[in-house]
Amino acid sequence: MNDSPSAVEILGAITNLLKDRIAPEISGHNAYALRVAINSLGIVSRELELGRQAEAEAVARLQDILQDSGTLDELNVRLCEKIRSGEFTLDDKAVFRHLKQTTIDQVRIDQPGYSGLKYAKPSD
Amino acid sequence: MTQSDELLKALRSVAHRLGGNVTDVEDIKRLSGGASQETWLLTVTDSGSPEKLILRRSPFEPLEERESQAIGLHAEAELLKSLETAGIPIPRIIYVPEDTDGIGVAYIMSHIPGETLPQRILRKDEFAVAREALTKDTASALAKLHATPVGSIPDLPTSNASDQIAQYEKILRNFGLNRPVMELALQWLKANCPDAGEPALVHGDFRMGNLMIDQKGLASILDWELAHLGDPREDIGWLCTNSWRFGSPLRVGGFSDLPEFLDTYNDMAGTQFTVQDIEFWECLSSFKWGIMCLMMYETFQSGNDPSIERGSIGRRTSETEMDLINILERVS
Repeated sequence: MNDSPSAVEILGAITNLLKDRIAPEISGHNAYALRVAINSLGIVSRELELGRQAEAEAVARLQDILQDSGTLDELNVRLCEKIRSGEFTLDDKAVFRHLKQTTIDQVRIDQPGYSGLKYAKPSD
Repeated sequence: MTQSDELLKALRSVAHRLGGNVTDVEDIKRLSGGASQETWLLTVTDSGSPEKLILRRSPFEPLEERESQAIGLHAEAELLKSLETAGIPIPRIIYVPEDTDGIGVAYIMSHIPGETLPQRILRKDEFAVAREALTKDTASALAKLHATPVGSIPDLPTSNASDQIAQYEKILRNFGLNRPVMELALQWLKANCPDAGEPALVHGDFRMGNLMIDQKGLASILDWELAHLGDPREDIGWLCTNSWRFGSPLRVGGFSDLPEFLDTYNDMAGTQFTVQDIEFWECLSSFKWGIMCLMMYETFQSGNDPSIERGSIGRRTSETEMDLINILERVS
């Protein structure tokens, strides 16, 4: 695959263009929309960098917890069913650790500066 | 003609209804922020000199009403009129446009100067005095608001904790999404749901961003579209939601510790709400805000509002899941 520049490098260059050259010329509601757009490019870029590994690790944890195989979506459906039925509760430490790690990984992609990420207690 | 030109033309035709001495609308400007409601700053000619008013307008009214518990801008205006003498800082309703005015579903209110951007209010030196006053100001406003005789205001929907859990569970199910953190929070909320007390007026969206702050403190409470009858602790829990604290470690709105706030509020309201009580409401708040983020994503996905401003809010769901994890870890 032709990856020079890589997808992440292309996104970075577009982000810089929007931030440094376009944003100063825009005001009002469009300036707000542009800030949102620039942030969203950051999400895409971080997902490209971190998403695949986070997903693989989540699948491995879920297979272990559920003693089952399947795609992330399939495993998540089963996990949700077991939480809904009361089979898994807040007291199941392995489930909670998995949910916490999965959420941390997602916030690192969606919003790495979010304060809730700092408040998350390190897992034992 | 642009949307802005059309709106200005329509407003000019009702200029004489915007206060006794108003003769013209000189200029309108859309203010930034606010993904679901438009807010416009109007400059009108009042007794020959320029004065400012605020127009609130809802371009997506039918959808918003169906999907959330929003009472609609007209009901919001009626409620604000009935609260004019309640001793709560709120804007004054100037005019509610008729269908034939071509302005849309909207109301026009007084312009109260101040700042709503939490990042500025919580960080800038010029708001240091205001920040000191905010515990007392918000506790006092909420105590008065919650004590409003229900017979003195227009009919509002009743929504207690159990109603909200059921309502948001239904929305979550309709999305057909599998979000296990939401699921775990839902089960905890159901198991810990408080009984409904005497119904009180609840603002429903009392948080940083909807509070107009001037250099002295709380100047005005905005955005009443989620007002309802319910449990007053809901407003306190919502104000504590981490999403509205913008990085501040202070739990109440980013400006106050919870025990200090509750002491002040309880003194004024004659209640005995505890930190323990608020855990449930803060958890419900993050759960609801997470689902609202998904609802806003849905209006994007369906093409009703294809803007990036709207669509990207879906990615804020994970922040609420992070907050839910932190709350659930605290209470377990």
